[in-house]
Amino acid sequence: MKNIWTVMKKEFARFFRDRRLVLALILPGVLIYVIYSFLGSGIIAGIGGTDENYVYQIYTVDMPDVFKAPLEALENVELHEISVDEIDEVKDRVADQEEDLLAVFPADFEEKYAAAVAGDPTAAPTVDIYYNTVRTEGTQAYALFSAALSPFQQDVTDYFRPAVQDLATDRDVTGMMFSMIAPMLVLMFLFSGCMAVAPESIAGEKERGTLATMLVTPVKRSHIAAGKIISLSVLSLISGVCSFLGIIFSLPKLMGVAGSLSASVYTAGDYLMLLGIVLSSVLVIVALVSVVSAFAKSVKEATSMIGPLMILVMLLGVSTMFSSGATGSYLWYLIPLYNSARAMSSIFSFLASPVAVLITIIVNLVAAALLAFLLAKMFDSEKIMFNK
Amino acid sequence: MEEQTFSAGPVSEPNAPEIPAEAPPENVLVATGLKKTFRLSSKQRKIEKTPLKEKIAVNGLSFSARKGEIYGLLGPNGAGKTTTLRMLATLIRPDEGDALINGFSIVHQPDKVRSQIGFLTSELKPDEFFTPSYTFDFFSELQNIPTQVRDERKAMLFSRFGIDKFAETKISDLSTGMKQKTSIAISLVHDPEFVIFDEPTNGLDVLTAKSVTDFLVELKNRGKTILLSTHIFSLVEKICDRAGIIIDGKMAAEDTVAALTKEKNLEEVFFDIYAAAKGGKEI
Ligand SMILES: Nc1ncnc2c1ncn2[C@@H]1O[C@H](COP(=O)(O)OP(=O)(O)OP(=O)(O)O)[C@@H](O)[C@H]1O
Ligand SMILES: [Mg+2]
Repeated sequence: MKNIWTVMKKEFARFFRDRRLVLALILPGVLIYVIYSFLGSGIIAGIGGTDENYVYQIYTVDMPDVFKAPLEALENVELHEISVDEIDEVKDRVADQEEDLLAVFPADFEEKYAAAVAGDPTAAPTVDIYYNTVRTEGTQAYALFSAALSPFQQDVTDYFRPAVQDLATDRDVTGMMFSMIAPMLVLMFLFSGCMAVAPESIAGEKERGTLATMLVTPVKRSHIAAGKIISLSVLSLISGVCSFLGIIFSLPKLMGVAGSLSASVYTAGDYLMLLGIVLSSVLVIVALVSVVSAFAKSVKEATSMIGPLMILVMLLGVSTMFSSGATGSYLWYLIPLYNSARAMSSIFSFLASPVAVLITIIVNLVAAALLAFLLAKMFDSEKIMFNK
Repeated sequence: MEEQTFSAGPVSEPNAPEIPAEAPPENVLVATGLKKTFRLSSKQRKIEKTPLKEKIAVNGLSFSARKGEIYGLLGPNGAGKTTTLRMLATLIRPDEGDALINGFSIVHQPDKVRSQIGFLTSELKPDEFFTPSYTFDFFSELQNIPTQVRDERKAMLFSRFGIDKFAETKISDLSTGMKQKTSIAISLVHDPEFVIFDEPTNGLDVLTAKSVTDFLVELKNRGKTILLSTHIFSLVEKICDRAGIIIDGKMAAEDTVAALTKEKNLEEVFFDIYAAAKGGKEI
């Protein structure tokens, strides 16, 4: 036990006394802060709910009165009939999230409609509908608009084609997805933190013959492995936290409006579960990267071997975006790291299951222990430690 | 003597009975039939210019070192000296054979062996980022040396080698000689009874080399047993009590240095043995 601590102390001394390595540890966080802050304010303005008294602004071009009637009956909808010349200007305002919806009917709508009803399907007129999914009001305006037209649906849908266009830009989508990609970001930060320390400490020491100096002392291989993994986990975590702080501090500027995304929506219990997941994940990641580094002949080789691993872990993080997230069988939580992504995603979306989180933490701890055991075995293998 | 060793062939038996016969002087090291084969990668085969997939680096080596003596393993490049010492230091496992160091088996009790030995070889390098002083403390802690003992030992070894002035300088900033002396000091943090040094004077100038060899004699006078490998004949003649000449992984001759150099100097003796070994093989 004492030897584990001795190995850890040396590992910390190695990193904290070396200005270059300390920099490598905290630089990603600083960079994230600087870059995100420079990206400027107001990229994503106003994510959030709409107020009850909101009046939806719907712009129409050549809309037949029959269709207007049900919408005009609604108190919270204001219709504006505009001319063809104004289309582009309004479209831009919809894209900029200033207006809610634009519906453009062709001037000869009624003739084409009649022709279609008469039996010429090619004549069916096209109605262009523009709104922005990122603007909550836009989405709701579209819902109102379709609902108002639904009585006509049976008669009408076959005879004209609504061409719905989402004017949300890439930037808007990024903002909306922020909460969805948080699990991936956490895993990525932990991984890149680990990348800054583990290959150097394992493959580097192996390459330079430093690791072997410890192998001729009576210290148990398992103690060397444990000391390395624990200290590297702490270092990775520090690096991960720096990146995380970089995001948090740049968030108000990134979001334009401070407070639109408030961390206070989560409870202390949520944070405790997150902490458990992060701690257990970092152990798995460090152990995994350490094992790969021990296989490699040099730091360079280790880095190139770990690249695909990093992509894999990021994919695990992204996968929660497309899966059902929190729901589903507990079996999913038996896969190390994937379970972390899943569990974090469930916490972020307020659907956390303490049982699933507990399974996640236990599975990760077991996986890390097994990998540490493997690392100790590798330290004992002359083929791995001394092959040329 | 030579005859006997050659006829031994791949089997290591003949040397074994000799050891009990010499038992009265206490043997700190008894190696019997050590064998090590390396599988060669295609790259290594190209470098070594051999079609063989395997290289027998050490081939049934048996020898013993007595308490309080300096034993020299002498051999040309590639003879298998370093491989032998690495097996004794438990860094690699022999394919066959075993060795006892202070009664502990390198195969079955590697942990015990590691606490008995001090090992120095060019492949093991302390982290150059740290200072000699920090590194000494680190290895002392791994060897469970009490702080006070450690500080006394450090002061003694550092002043003996003139490291004291550089105790707080990063190892990477030290000269080759100072690095080597630091490595020697660090291999002795636990004051081991048995010291295994692989080419301890390699790359050192005559002055530095002399301070190292003087120190080895000092260690011997303090009752330590030293096994060193070298291809420098004069070093063996100067400080070794006994020597084993290794050629192609086999013990070609083993005797006291006095007996080996009775008629000719060691270099000439070596050429004779080498010719006999190579000649014997081809015929
Ligand atoms: N890891 C390895 N893989 C393959 N071959 C090896 C390995 N280590 C040593 N050898 C081979 O084994 C033989 C003995 O090597 P060794 O290093 O023991 O020789 P040596 O007597 O120490 O030589 P030198 O005086 O050059 O240091 C050499 O032919 C070497 O190429
Ligand atoms: Mg050698």
